[in-house]
Amino acid sequence: MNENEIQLKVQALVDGVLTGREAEELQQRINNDATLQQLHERLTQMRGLIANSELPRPLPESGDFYWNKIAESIEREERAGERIAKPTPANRWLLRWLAPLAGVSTVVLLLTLQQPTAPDLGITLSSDHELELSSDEIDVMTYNSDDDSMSIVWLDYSMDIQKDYMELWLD
Amino acid sequence: MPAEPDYSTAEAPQLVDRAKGGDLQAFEELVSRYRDRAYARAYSIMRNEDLAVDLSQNAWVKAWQRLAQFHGEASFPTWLNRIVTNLCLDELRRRKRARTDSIEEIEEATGPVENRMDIQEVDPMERLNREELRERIDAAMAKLSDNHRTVLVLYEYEQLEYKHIAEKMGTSIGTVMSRLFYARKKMAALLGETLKRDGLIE
Amino acid sequence: MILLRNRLFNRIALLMGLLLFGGGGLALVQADSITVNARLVLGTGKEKQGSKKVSDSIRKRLAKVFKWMHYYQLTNKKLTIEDAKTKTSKLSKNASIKVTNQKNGKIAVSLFSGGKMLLQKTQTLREGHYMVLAGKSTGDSAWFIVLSK
Repeated sequence: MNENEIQLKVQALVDGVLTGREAEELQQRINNDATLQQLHERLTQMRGLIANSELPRPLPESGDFYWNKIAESIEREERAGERIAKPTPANRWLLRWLAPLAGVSTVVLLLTLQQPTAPDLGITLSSDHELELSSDEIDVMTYNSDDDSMSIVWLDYSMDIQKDYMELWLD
Repeated sequence: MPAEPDYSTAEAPQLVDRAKGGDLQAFEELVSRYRDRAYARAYSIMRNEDLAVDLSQNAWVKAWQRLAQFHGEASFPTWLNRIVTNLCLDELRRRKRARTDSIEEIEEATGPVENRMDIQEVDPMERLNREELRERIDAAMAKLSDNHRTVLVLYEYEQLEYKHIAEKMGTSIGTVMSRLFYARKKMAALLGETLKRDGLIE
Repeated sequence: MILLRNRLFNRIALLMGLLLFGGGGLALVQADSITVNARLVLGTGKEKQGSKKVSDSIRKRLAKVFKWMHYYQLTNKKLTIEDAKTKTSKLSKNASIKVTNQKNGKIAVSLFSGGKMLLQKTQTLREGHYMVLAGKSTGDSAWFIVLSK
């Protein structure tokens, strides 16, 4: 273990991440090494200093002005949402089904326009594919390649959505 | 006709429930209670007043749109600050694309220059009151690189584990540990300097 | 003698009837039930020693479209679903799918994350065809749910 690795281990011990036998062994090593002991003490001290030290900070503008901007954004987005995405239940239904197809068409169009000499990607849309999304916060890209005998639905979501309910997928 | 609730005295969960039902006035009350906290968290990461105002406002708009997803696992302000933090991280990521690596990042990648330098001892607790100390810590945080400051905010203020910080920052646990170590070391040095200058330590 | 021949004929007819009915019935079950393999796959740029790699057939197809170099199979579930029936399978701690056999090889796959439905895809799943649902995971990796017959 090089010097940098041992420093990070000491930090992990201070942060309570290192446990069990590994922690005991490191603690013994720290007890017999004045430099590590000092590092351990200083890291513990720094941790105590910074934790919960976030300064309370008042808004630099009036609360009303701040709220008005939020309310305007909410209203604007809701109006846009009603106008574009949810005018009527029938259109909403239609959009949910057509949006992915429109996405694919755009991709195909872009590929065609940007790479006139590109090989045929064999991307086709099949009429027996149907897709319904349950969340407005997820976008999808889909394509169906007969050459590769494969259809793909790629879910595109923001980082906080990922955090909210996608992060443990591979556990 | 049900009586108009008294928003100013209602508990936060009650306001959240009403806001979930589309009550914008209840949401406004939540904004008025927690706007400073949201702004403070955005400022802690971005260190820019205008950006912190904009990002915290965006977070409120997102919160309104996603209220249905809030089930009370954490408190409302904690949930909100998570949205603030995520928006700040997205913004930092966007800005970083157009910027070269900082000296600290180069050092991290190529091996630490100051490996043999100890973390400086800083023990000002007896001489400074908590408020003065927080101000000095805040000033030192402002001097850190975006990556170092963010890792400290996520670890110390947001109280996330290494693993979750790595996920949020799109990096490895090893890099998080390394950034945290260097951030603390830098903080100790900066605090040491300011306290020495003020004659609080020798 | 005629009686004997009649009896024999009747038995053969009965046997054939049973065979036809039974065989037909069996054939009917075979035609209408569907077996779907559902695999949860991790796509990553880094090699993971000791992890199970996906089959070459899947790797080649995914690598043709996606940037990741390595594809590891985390779960493989086999679902046999009768006509108009539905089966649910948990692929990881948070991810599960619900597959409905809608007749003639057409299936409806619903994807759930932590109990919340994200989408439903309906298509005819032909032999040798892969239906892939995918998205970005943490760090520089992605998850794939690969369904095939």
